[in-house]
Amino acid sequence: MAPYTAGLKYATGAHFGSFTPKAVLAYTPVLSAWGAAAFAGIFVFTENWPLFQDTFFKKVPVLGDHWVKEIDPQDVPN
Amino acid sequence: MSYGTIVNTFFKRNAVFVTSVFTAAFVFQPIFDDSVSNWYYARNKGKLWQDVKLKLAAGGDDDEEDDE
Repeated sequence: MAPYTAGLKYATGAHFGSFTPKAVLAYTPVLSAWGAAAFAGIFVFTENWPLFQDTFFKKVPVLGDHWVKEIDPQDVPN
Repeated sequence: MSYGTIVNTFFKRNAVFVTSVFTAAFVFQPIFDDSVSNWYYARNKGKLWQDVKLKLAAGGDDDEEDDE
């Protein structure tokens, strides 16, 4: 027979603030999809930014040629 | 692909919907830009600097003096 203990044995699960492992796992797919959405949005709105063009967009497999502008040196104003 | 499949794949989760909208926008931008440029170059072929420059290089720049 189990020994008698007074009252109920309460225990708090692991948590960080209101974040529990279960909740974090449940939200992970949605949050990663939002992360992808944020990246896609950044790519859309920086499409005309030379730094981003040189760093990322020129290296995109099929579309990359769009951002490569080849101008004849004699047509460039000094 | 049935309509239900499209709805369940792209519209059900807002995060996925927004991602597909932005991705489509990013892909559409260069394709549309290049298409319009190609149409413009085709329509104005012979009048643009890139064509005129070749004519000048071939020695066609003395047209005006021939008329006088």
